[in-house]
Amino acid sequence: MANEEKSKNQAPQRPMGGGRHGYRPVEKPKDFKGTIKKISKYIGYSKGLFIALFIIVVIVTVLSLLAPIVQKNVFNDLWSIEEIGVAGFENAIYWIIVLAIVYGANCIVALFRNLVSGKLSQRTVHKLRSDLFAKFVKLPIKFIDNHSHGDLMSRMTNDVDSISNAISQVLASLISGVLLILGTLVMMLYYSWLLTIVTLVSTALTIVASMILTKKMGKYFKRQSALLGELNGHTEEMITGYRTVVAYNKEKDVEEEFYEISDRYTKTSIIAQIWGGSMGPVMNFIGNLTYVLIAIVGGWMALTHPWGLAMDVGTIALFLTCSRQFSRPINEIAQLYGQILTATAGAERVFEVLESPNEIDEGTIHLSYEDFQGNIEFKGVNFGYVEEKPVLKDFTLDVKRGQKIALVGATGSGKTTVVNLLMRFYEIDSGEILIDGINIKDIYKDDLRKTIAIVLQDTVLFKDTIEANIKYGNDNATFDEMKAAAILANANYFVKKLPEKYETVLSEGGSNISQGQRQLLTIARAVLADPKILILDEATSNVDTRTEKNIQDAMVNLMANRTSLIIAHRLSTIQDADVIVVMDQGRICEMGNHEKLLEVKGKYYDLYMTQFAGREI
Amino acid sequence: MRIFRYLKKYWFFALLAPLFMVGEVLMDMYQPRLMSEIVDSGLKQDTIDLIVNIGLLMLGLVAIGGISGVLSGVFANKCAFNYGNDLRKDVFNHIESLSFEQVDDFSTGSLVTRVTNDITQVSNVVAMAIRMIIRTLMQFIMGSIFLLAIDIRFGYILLVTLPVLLVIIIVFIIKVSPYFKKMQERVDDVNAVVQENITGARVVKAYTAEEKENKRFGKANDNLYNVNWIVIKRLSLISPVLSVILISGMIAIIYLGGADISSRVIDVSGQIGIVSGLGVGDIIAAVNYLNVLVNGFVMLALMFQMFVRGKASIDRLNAVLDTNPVVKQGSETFEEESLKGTIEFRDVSFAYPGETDEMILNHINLKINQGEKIGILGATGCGKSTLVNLIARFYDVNEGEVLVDNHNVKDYTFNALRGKVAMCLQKSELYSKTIKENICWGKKDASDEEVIEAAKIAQAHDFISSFPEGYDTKVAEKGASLSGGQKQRISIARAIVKKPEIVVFDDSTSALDLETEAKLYKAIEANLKDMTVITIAQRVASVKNCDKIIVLNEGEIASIGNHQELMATSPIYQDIYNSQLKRGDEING
Repeated sequence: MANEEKSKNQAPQRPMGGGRHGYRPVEKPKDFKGTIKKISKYIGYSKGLFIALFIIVVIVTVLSLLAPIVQKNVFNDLWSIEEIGVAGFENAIYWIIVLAIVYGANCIVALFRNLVSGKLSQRTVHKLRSDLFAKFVKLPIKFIDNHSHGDLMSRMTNDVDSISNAISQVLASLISGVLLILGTLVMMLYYSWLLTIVTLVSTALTIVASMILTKKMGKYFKRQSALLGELNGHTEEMITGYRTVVAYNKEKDVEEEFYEISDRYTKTSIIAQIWGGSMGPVMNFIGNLTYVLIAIVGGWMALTHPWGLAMDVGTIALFLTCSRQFSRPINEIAQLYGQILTATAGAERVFEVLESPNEIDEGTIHLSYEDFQGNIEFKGVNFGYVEEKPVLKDFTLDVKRGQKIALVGATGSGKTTVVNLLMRFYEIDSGEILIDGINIKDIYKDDLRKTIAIVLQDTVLFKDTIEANIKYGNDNATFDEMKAAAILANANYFVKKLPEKYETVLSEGGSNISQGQRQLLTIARAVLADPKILILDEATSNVDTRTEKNIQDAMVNLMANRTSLIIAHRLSTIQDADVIVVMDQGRICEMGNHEKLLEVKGKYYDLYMTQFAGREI
Repeated sequence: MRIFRYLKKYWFFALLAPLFMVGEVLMDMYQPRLMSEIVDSGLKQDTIDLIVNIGLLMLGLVAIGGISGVLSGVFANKCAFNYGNDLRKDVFNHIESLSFEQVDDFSTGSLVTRVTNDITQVSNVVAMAIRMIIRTLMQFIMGSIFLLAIDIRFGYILLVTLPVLLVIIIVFIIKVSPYFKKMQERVDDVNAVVQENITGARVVKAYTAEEKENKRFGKANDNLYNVNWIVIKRLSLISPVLSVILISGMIAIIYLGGADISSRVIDVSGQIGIVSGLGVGDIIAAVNYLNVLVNGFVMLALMFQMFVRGKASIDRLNAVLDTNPVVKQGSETFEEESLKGTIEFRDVSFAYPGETDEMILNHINLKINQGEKIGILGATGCGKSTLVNLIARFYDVNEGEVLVDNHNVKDYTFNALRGKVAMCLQKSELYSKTIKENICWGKKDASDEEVIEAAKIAQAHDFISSFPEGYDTKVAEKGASLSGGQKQRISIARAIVKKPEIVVFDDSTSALDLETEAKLYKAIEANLKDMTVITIAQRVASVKNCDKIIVLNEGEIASIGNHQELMATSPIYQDIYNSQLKRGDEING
């Protein structure tokens, strides 16, 4: 039953955490290319920023390429002073000034790069977030019922975050990395092909080594983060379920299990971190190896001029810088690759939501509120949430304007489903539902829903003031109208005791008022919406008896002059109904008023007697 | 701090890790020196041999440094993770030993965070302290020493650079940190709207409030964007500003070094020569050292930030470890006792700690015999749950005493006492295991027959068998999600399989429909005659057939008796009865 499935609320959160190096297990997207295209479209909304970023990155790259050349000139000049005693410090000063300018310019441009890429990523995810939210409210209830709420939340939070990080960090680095690699390569070739080969060989070595290590590392980090997830899950379950643990004297067992997971996690973590920690030294070694090789080959060239190749100290120094400049972006891109994959996988989940079909509204008829009567007719309605598992079978019911209809029956008999269909949260498989003789499929959904108000078992209130919550269905109401609704709903008496009265902001989850008080507010909200049709779905099952009395009185006020559908376990709530519909496995098995149904001595009688005679069935 | 006592066991690792780290940094520090030697001597003296020799020396040192680094990592991680493991076990252990009121005080959510995030934080701090702090500190100190060794005059550059750096870092921390909190608040706001719209999708649609919600979200989203942008603006400045300072220092070194070299050029009778001193290689090395030491300095400042955050975690963990369990178990098991399942409250009064002016229970006197079926009714907050919580000693009484099988509950070991009592709570806490494992939670070695029998009594067997995987269905798995009533029935089966002397249903049948509830009680009566059953309920129907019904009102027993007696004598009972079952008498009577 859909209503019950809703309670699977905080379902699986993706495991958090990972290594200290910000390592997160890499997820692979299914359609990498397609998803990248879709993200590009979003980035494209800020075309100006993107172009600006591109230009800035090109400038940064050019400056980074220039710096070593200028540095080379500085050192060459100083070298010749030291070596040959040429008194040319003015020349060196000239290059030092140029160097200062190049470096300084680099800093300034870097500032703009940070700003622009930050703005670009924020704008993009801002747009993505609002689109995603707009989609959430447009999705059919079926979609939301079929996904765990934790999963949907995680698309809005984790997935959007990883997209945001990718745009702000990856985009600029990727562009500049590629440019830097190409630029450095060209420059190195220009100065010496032989030293370029030396550099390339050692770079290849770096890549191979890092690939081997990453693979090794990845295995352990993946295991580590899975274990962390398990550990956190166990902790959460056992601490929130603390009362049950203690009540069943299970402290020892629970601890043993906890110890076992904790030990496994510790062992794996240590191995993972050791592998992770070895990356730095290995790279460092290869980097220094390159350095020494370049120095040796360069020195040899400077001394012997093989094949007539010239070499000077400045150029050697240049290559020493270049070799680092060359391997750094390659490593960076390798690391970014994982981040890109994760972000793309996240984006894929986001776009999956964005591309799923909206709730369809093929309505063509406007209902006018004034002329609306409130007659409801179900004609041979068949429906199932899953194919081949019908929940309602040939459901036929005629409700006249102003009548109070009660639906009773065991859990799973299809009571709540009737509501889901009338509100068009779900579409019927066959048959038809008519309101004032019009098929509800032909009515604009907004119009249909505006004429109906619902009060549900799970109270839904919003993190806003009490006033705003009551006015939820009717923004234009005045304060006095709002207060009148609250009085009618028996809510005024407790609201006026609150220090801030109607200005009180309800906390998330509503912990600052009681469950019963929350229900009174939802009734006040329904009163103010002034619907022609009212649906009360188990509105009092979560409250204690005294509050229930209050709520029942409020509901009587609310039902006056409206067509009402009441769903309840407790038969006392519905004895005054004009028609009581007893449901059993998707069919109506009995129908009539209270007295009549008792006379029949059928299912209703059994239910009723159960309630009064207690255990004797 | 007592929390670092746990390090004692790993003092050996804690000592080796920084030692090897010193080794690594030292080797690292030699490299710029050797590199400059290659440039200065090797290339100048025209000998490949020298270059190769120095090069090999350099590689050797790098290898030693690398191995030291890896070893330091091995020891640091061994130390930090084992430390974290011990700490985690102890904290978890400690939480399990706390009393209900103490757990309530902390709130379970906050305890979960402490065991997970806070411990990760603290062990990260430990790993960092014994490794990274030493590393950056060494980089800073050794960098300074090597730099000054090249030329003491470079010290002036440090005297200017470092204070400026320090001021800038402090300014940034002051300017940016408050916004992080704000950022988190805005993120929470955005999430709150999304969460509300997902869980409340039906209400949003029913009130056609889609547009309204879009606007509300738009506002939250804009607010988040604005704060993010402020933070980005400020953060964007950091690295360029730090670079400017570093670069100024580098340029100064190059300029001063170059000036020094050219000032030493002398012209001795037409022969141009140079007085020995600073060389180009020295300048390159100096620039490298400056780079290393400035980075070390900045990292130290950032690490200080992490320590501040770690300190908060340490405080939170200490708060848990410093809390001593208030309810301590007795030493007796009273196994030979012939009485089974009797309970007696003798003049019991109770108030939650710290709220002694508001007594929850007032001078309660009550005797319950073996096999009696007791119902407890009363409004929310009248003390129903508190009363039964005293039986299993989840709390201790303020006055009077609670006796189970004629002995004060305080004299029992927890094992003995709680072995006698099974509690079913309203919020049935099931675990993400199979249904069978959840039921066996009540009795570890229960046979399949016992499990099925318990499930049958709890009216759970039918729906469990209807699942494709039956008793092996995982509870939290997608697709097999259970309804509230189903969960309650599994938790009842869990209590029944234990075959306790006393079972307490604390509003644990609220989600069952009346027919199922009635069947449940009937099955208990038929199968478990000797078991004392206490039922707390909202519905009169749930307790109507009990041997005794206790009506609690504001911490006192207002009336006690069976249904007929109470209908005749208790106005509160009549009141509740009428509100729920009005007109019932027309049928019954």
